[in-house]
Amino acid sequence: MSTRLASHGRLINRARALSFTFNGKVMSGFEGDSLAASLLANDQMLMGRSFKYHRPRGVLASGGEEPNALINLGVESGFEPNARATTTETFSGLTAASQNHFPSLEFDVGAINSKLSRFLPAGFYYKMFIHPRSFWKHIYEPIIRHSAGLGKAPKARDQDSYEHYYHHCEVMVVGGGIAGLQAAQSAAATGVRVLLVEQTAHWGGRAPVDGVTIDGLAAEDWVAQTLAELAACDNVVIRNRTQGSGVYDHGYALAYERIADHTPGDGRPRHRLWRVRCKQIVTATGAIERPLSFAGNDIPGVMLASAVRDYVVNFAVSPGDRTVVVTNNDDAYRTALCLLEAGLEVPLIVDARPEGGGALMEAVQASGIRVALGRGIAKVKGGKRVTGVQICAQAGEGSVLEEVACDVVAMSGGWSPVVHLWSHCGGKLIWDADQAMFRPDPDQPPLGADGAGFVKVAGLANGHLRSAPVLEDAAEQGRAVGRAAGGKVQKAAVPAAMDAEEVALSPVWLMPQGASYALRSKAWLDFQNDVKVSDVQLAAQEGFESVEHAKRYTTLGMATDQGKLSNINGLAILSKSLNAPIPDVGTTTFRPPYTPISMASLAGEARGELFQPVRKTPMHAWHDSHGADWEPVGGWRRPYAYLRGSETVAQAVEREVINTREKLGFLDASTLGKIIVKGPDAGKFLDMMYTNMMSNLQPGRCRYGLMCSENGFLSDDGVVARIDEQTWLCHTTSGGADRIHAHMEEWLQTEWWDWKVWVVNVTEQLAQVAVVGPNARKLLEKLGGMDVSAERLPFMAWADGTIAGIDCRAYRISFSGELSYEIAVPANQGLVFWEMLMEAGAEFGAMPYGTECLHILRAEKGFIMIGDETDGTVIPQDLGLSWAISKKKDDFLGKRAQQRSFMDNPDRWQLVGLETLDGSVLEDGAYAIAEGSNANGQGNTQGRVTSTYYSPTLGKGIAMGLVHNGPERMGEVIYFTKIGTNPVQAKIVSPVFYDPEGEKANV
Amino acid sequence: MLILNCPYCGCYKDETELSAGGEAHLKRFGPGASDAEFEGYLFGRVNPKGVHFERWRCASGCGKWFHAARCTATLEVFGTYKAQTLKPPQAIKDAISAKRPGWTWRDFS
Amino acid sequence: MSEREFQGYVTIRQHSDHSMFTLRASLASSKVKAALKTCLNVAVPKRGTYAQTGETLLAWMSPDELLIMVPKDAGGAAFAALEQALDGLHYLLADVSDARVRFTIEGGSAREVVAKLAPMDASAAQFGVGSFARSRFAQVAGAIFVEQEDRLSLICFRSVQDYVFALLCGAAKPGSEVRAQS
Repeated sequence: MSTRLASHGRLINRARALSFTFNGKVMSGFEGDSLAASLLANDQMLMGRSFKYHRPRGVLASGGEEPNALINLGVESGFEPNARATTTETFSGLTAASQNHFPSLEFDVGAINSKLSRFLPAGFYYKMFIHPRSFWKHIYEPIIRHSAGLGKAPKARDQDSYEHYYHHCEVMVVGGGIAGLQAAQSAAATGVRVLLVEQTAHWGGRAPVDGVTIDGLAAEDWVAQTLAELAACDNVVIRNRTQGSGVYDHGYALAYERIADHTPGDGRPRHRLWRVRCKQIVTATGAIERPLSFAGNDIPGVMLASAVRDYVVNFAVSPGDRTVVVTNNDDAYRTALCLLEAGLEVPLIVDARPEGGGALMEAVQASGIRVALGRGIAKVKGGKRVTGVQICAQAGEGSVLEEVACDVVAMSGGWSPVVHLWSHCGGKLIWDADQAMFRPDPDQPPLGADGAGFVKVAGLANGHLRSAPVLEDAAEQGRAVGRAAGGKVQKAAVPAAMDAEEVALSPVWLMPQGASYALRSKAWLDFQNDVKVSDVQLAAQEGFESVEHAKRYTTLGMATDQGKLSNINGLAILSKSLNAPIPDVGTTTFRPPYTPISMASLAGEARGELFQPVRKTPMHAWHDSHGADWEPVGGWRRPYAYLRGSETVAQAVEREVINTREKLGFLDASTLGKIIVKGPDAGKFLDMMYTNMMSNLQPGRCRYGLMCSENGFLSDDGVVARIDEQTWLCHTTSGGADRIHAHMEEWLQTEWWDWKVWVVNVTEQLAQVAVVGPNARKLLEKLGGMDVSAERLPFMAWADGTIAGIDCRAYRISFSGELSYEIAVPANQGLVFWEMLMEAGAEFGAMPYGTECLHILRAEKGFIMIGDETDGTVIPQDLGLSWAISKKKDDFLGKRAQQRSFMDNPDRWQLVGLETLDGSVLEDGAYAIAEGSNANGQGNTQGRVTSTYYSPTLGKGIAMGLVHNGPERMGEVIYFTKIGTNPVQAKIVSPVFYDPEGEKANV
Repeated sequence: MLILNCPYCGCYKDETELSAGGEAHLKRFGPGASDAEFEGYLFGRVNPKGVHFERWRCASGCGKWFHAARCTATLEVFGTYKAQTLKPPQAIKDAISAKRPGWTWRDFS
Repeated sequence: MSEREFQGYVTIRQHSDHSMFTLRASLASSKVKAALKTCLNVAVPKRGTYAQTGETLLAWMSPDELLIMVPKDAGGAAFAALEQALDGLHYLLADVSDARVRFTIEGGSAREVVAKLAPMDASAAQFGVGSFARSRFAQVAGAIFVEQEDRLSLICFRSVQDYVFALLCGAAKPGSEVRAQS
């Protein structure tokens, strides 16, 4: 059984006991524990179930590479699935639950899959569930969906806060082991700004566990001393609990700080995403120990040798009483020595190398421990816990030579440098056959903005397994990045590290090397996704020769651990199956983030009310308190309608339409874009921007204008007012102000940069109110201040003045067909002006109206709306707007395009009005049905509905649409689709349904 | 994520502060142009692997358009320059030649 | 316009004590410089900076755009005087007082709060007193300048003032200190 030791435990504080629960059971741990350590201390070796076969799984590793110990953390709004127990710090009140089992972790019915594993080989889903096709949607997909996924998706809204932080520095060092500390120190000595991040809560990495001494100090003391020195440097920022999680183009990197995962509810943000921009990066990310592939290597109790000693040394946790060590290298002997020192039993060391190891092996042998050379593990015995191992000759096929009882197997297949961050942005790898590892190729680094490499790798991650070269390498890389980032290198001695001599490892990719199928099909490569040696061999046999294909076929390395333990072993098996050298098979692509990071950290502050900026007009709060039913329009919120009492939205819209037609309505039109264009060449410029002539507009007058893209398609519309000789004010659509402003600037800057024109977007400077209806003039005359008579302010004119003491500009323009004034006042007075209109307008029956009323009013008049009648494929000629296209101008944006043969052609879908025979409202976007069908067997169409409403004024449905040769077909009845029912008959009519002579507006 | 030096602001801007505007040095063809000329202007874009000239706008900054010469394969930036020009400045062309001898792009080399 | 304040680990405050004008004109023009000097007694700032005389500020927005900030009570007169002084030149002067909102961020960690929202390098070494920059603040455009070592001003559009205020308050929330200025 696993338990807490009386000795050891450099990271825990025994004075601070913590209480937590696992699957509802109360357990205790110590401050400084990882959750995995706490669980082991409570004899909870079984921590989860595997993905496919629901095999019982214990913790395998001690860090971020852990594939098995994935748990649900917290409850409700603090719930998080798939947390790794090895990287979760235990805190008081922590609630953990295991995943992927039913009904319980101990007894899981899904484990039947394991018995069926012979029938669930690699690619099973692809082979099995493809036929018959009709079964996919209703049978296979729901079953697979039900059984897929490890953790549960959170249901409640996340209670925590998250944020981003943009950090600028010259050098970023990732990894707080001795290499990272040394590299940071060497880089900082050059005078540049350095950021050093470490993903765990602790500094020093493996060195303090592995008994390294540096400059005569124990590694732990050297780490503390170096850290203190770095902390004292003004140019160094150091962060623990912060993972360098991704390296991107041009020196951009992400670091993921877990501020309050271990202190929930303390008011701090839970995670902070550091968006780092630097000149140079050092990745000192260490190495990960590889498992060995032998039958039963996934049984709880089989662990990485380094993890076993981490638990003992760091957390004072004994994974078990009797540990068999199995290795192909010297390093694993450290685990045996560590266990001996802790008073635990090591009955046997199985070393696959016929000659065995060096000094460390001799030290172990001197302690009286038996070392079996040239041996391997044939099979691990046990179910939910290891009970023993069967020993065989590594060179053989697995004949059992002896059986040894034990409850832990500590395995080591050698070390793989963590090259992920180097590779994220294009750094290439080389295969180091001597050390059996991929390590960074210094000649092919990721390239920065200047075309030079911007990432260097230091220490273990660079393939240096011994401490002395680790520090030498780190110092050199630190100096190099400091120099490359603009610092000044000064000579400094490199600390001298001492550790035990080691002899070379011997690569072991399968144990025993000639293992039978039965053994291979129980030898796990990917523990989380249940991929075994036999699966990869099958993939190769079935022709999946590319490592990327084999990965996807078998799901090797596709779990949440992204193959940190399985990749190299898997591709070694693949390479052997293909009879190709490992470097030729290559690796799959390493992509950020290094380990999963929270989605919320990526969102940062952009949640809740900050999810998206909502643009508000000066009258926004008034609308909100007067029943506004909001509609998003181009980043703004506009009232769709103002609900009164128990009205439905439709009833409110109908009331607003009738009231505006019969009495008086106010629209908050502040969102309309307002752009001032001024200069000696402004008229010439606007003649290019608009399809119509704007240069000959007289000061004091307004003109409706159309804007097209160079493709000829209608892009925006609005009323243009000429202010003075050199100045025009252009109104744009509500969503279009920023876009049209940018469009104007683009042409001025990049095509006609010699034209003398200035443009300023003053949209937000002004609040604008449309005062609409037969009583509009009466109201303005009552308020007084300026002459708004038909004589002084005729239709399509504007004038400056004051209304009730507020400076304003009044435009006699109408988008409703009624007598209408659009009045602009300074934004800060918008609300006062609006409230004054409401109050003074009461006697004239004034009501505010929303955007749906606006739409109905304009549709009744046959006025087009950008985004309804247009969709980026419609030219003005399609909409009966040829009158607004100047024939006199040589050029305007879109003119040449409109001369293309298929544009300059009457044989197009063109705008008409549509009236259903039964008075019903057509569906928005409904298609007009034509005879026959197209090459794909779909019914032919001859038009579509672009705007459709119930007209309260006319008491029936009205619509506009684009119909093939429509204007030529007045009176014809055609059919429109209606979802779920028979097509609807509609007559082609004029799009102007109301007041075709325009008498009501021009009074 | 790229950084580019805005030649108007005189400092590096993050890609999220910029907006991309496609190929640089297009010649506008208007009324009177042949169908082929107009098609080339509207739709004919090169998409080279290697040296490329692009338009960028300092969208969250000064609002100005500028051009960037960069390598689409390595993302190396050879230089940026103001947009009010019909061709890349000699200094930019020299910078490219130093890194990519013998380069050509449309009519430039 | 409402005047709001939030006391976090820095202080966020909204101000409306200035009129603001946008001037589009060539800033290299000696006539433009002279007009500004005459009317406002402030020199045209170099790029990346603002210039100030008393409470009147000129800020570099682009090679042909200035943001002019004048004390509110002097705004009307200053606008008229500028129009007159610039008459005959190619320029566009627009009152944007109501279109823009200014917040100050005050405290020793003011730059840190900015760094939570904007990708620019707001460190003292790169962005000292007198600096002015336009950048992106979370999802909206804004301009920022350093009045004093511990007092920065942020200008944004009026329509997103609630968003920006909430952003700043969130970034200044006690407990979220980063303490990573180097």
